[in-house]
Amino acid sequence: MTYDAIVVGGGHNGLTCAAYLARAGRKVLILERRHVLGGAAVSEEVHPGFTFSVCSYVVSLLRPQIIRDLQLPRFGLDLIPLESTFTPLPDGDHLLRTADPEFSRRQIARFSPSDAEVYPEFGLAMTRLARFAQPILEQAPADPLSFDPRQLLELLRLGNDMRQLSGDDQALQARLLSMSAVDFLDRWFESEVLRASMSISGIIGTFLGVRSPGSAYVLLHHYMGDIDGAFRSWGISRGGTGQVSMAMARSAQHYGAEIRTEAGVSKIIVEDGIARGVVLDNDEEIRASTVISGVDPRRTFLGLVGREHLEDDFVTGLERYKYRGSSGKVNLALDRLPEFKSLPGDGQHLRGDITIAPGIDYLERAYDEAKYGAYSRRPFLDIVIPSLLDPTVAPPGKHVMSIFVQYAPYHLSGGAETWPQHREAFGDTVIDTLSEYCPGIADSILHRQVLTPWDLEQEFGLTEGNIFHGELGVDQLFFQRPIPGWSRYRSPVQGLWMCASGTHPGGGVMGAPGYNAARMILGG
Amino acid sequence: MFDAIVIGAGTNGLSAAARLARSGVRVAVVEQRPVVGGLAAREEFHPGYFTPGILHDSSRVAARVVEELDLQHHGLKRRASRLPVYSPAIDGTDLLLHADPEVAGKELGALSLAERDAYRDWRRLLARIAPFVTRMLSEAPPQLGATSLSAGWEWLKAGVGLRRLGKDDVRTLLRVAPMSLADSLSEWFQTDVLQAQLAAPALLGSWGGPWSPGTTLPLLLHEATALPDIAGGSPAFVAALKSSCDAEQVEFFLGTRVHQITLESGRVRGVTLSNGETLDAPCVLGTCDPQQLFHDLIEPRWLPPQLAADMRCLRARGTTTKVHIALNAPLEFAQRPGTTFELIRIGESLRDLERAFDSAKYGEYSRTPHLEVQVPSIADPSYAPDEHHVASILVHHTPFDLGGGWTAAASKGLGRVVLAQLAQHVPDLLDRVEAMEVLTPIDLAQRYGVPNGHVHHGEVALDQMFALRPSHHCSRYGTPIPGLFLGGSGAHPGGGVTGLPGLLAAERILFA
Repeated sequence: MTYDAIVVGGGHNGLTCAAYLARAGRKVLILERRHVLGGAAVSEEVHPGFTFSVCSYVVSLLRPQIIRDLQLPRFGLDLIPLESTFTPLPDGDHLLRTADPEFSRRQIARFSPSDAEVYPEFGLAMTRLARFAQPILEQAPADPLSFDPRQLLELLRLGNDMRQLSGDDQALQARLLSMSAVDFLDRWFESEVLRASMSISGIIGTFLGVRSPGSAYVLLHHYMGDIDGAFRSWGISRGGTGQVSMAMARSAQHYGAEIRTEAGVSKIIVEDGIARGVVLDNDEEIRASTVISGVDPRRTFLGLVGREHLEDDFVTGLERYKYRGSSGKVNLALDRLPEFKSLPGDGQHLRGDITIAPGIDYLERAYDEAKYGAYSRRPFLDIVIPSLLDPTVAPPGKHVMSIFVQYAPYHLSGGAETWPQHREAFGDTVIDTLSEYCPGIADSILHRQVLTPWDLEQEFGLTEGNIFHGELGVDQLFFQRPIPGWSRYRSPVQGLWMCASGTHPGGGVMGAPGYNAARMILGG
Repeated sequence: MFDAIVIGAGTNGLSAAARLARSGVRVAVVEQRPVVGGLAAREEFHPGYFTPGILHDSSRVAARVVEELDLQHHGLKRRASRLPVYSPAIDGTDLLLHADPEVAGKELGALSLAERDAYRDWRRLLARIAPFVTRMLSEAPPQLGATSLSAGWEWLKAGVGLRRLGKDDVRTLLRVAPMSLADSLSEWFQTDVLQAQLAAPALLGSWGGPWSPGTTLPLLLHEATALPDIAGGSPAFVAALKSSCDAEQVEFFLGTRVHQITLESGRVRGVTLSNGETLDAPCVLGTCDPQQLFHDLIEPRWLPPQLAADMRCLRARGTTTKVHIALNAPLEFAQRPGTTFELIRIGESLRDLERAFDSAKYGEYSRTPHLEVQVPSIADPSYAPDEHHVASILVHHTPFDLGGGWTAAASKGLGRVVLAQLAQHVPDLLDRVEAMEVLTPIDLAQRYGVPNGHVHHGEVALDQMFALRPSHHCSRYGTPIPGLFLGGSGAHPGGGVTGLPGLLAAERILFA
């Protein structure tokens, strides 16, 4: 049995790529090592009756075009917008921002009247820049060092688009690529509470502090969220993030793709420098004229291909490519709704994003601890309670709480392999931190799942636990992602392609890498 | 009546004035201090002992400035080679590093052959990019937001210039430039003290540690453009500039401040001085820092709101303290008795430098700060009495906004920290100290008028360089106000003793 294309890894990018190829009439096989599809975009019933979005917990960056092309709503995709951002403070106060501009204005004005005035302006500026950046996300990045006329033409077009921006917007663009999130926000806002609450979008998933240059770009990356055309809206998927993957899988199958789970790939077959297929963990050999890797670059090339098939420069590039996972995840099954000290009771504030980010120095100190190889004693938490918006994920009256935790550096000072010994203490730190804002939380926990970066690597195959398949630093973005000269999804092994978050435009449940890769493979 | 008034007689004010005067422009220079030279001025800090300027690094005095102003004829001489840098470490290792990789090879070879080869590769890379970098820094930067053909041409020229370095070097540059010093340097080097020594120059004037992304570009720019030091140090550069000005009859008003720049129907008409005098000229060039120029010297109503906003957001958080020590004997290091060094860096590893920055972030000064020590009296005995010496020390990561403020006690405490840090390597240091001067960021701000004590008038950061320095509204030395120009360290190519911003601003006035 041979295929036109084998996709290694059934994460959302692999599935997207496979679905597009199948839709174009290719005979495609998707191979997933685990028993469930989705990679890090996965839902699992970890505790009876409770469905966790185990890793990725919000969907915002998913490209609308992919939703349309692959008819994802028809295959079960149902996105529910998150309505607010709630930042409780240790002194019993809080900041709540919602989709209602007037409400947000009043809330922000409690901390700074001038910030309240500027807030909508900031949103507009970011939307403008995000709209400019969007087309860039949807195409393979052109290499400025290439002599390929097609790429040069793309660059000229980009240069011309750039020229259409005003000088102020060009400057803003340049600043976004180089500034820290805090410095960038300082240009607009003065209140510590608002700046801290907003700056966290600049650090999620990266080993940067809110004051590290480069974090402003990640801020924009998170601003490109787009649900049903409404900018900067975040959402969750009914049934958990895994349902995004499942919808993609069903779509792919609808177009004729074949999917196998519990089919781990142990090797990509390379003969005479050309990829010919794969070998599974059970030694089964499957042949195909094209192999597409949906796993991260290091795992793909040093794990599955083998350095004997690669040139030294490329291997050096792989070794230099930075992962440095910085985050963990705690998922809770709760027997009742949590009660926040600063805003007791149920309400809109629980139906959105809840961030424990009470100050800039708080966030920066959390980062400083991680720099020297310890997890933060008081980490930044990004919390969602999906069961409030989607009752299907928990029994009636019970709740699911998803807590994204940063910083949890993969490289602990005692070595990454010591993470299992620290796992429960790390979980305790998270609950202790949350308890300062939500005193009764510990007593309401029915089940706790703690995922350290080590677990993310071991269980989900994310190298060094990096949720984006590699840092989103300017030196690893655009035409330099993952390796300068190899940004157009092609690899030095003929017939082997890359289609996951380690390629442009990077991580998040976005699907753009899979989409772009499919287009390149189809010669589009 | 003058043709142009230059505010500030630092190295940029002097180079601008000299350049203008050489083209027949009648120039007045107004300087608030009684002496010229600004941060590069030689000053007596203890009877018989002189400083080599606050910024003692003269290696970046630009060849273009020397040439355009004919400074050789005004007594400027470069030394034969860059000063080697000595770095001792507590664990007993130490390093004397020459810029020339062949000379450095012997020392490094003793450390490890891999480091020796890596250093050779590093220096060769710098040498290959030097002509391009030097050109980029000796010309006005391309303009953002301009749609004219000539602006497009400027960008294209920069792009082509970069591309001509060849694929491999461009790849390296584009990849490495936005990285942190720690990430980039560890691609070449493994030894702590070597990494720290190489990284340190890029941290002067940055608000970052070696693990902050974006810190590599300043290092590449610094190292690729550094030349052999000036004989006599930064003050000798000042002297040559002054002599060049005097030869062209530049008129100096010393010890008086510009109170305000006067405008008439939106155009510059001249300045009023703090002594009440007025000077008329259709053109004013400010070489003071941009915030002072636009906030203090111009009535707010003349300032376009976008530029005013950019100036408000310009980051200039001073983190540098300057310490001068009068010594009654040479600085002798425990590990190399009988030898003296003109340039010493104390800082053991990137991790130490990062920890020092951590302190600064939270408003504390580091207990183990990085020190850059120059001993100018070795090459030029006129800096100190016979057999005596001067140690000129730049102390990194001492924040302007120190928690509790820079009280006399805080400043004294920092002085003790610096002595203790140095004494770890110079055993009988305390017996050799005759006198000491500690200039905290507050002192620097008060004495030299630099914003928050920031020695570069604005942090060196990717978003405050080239076309964005200090704002894209005035990155090419002209400002939205007709007749007003900007040409200090707050303009491209930024701080340090180069003379370039002043020269480029003068050229803009002459040729635009």
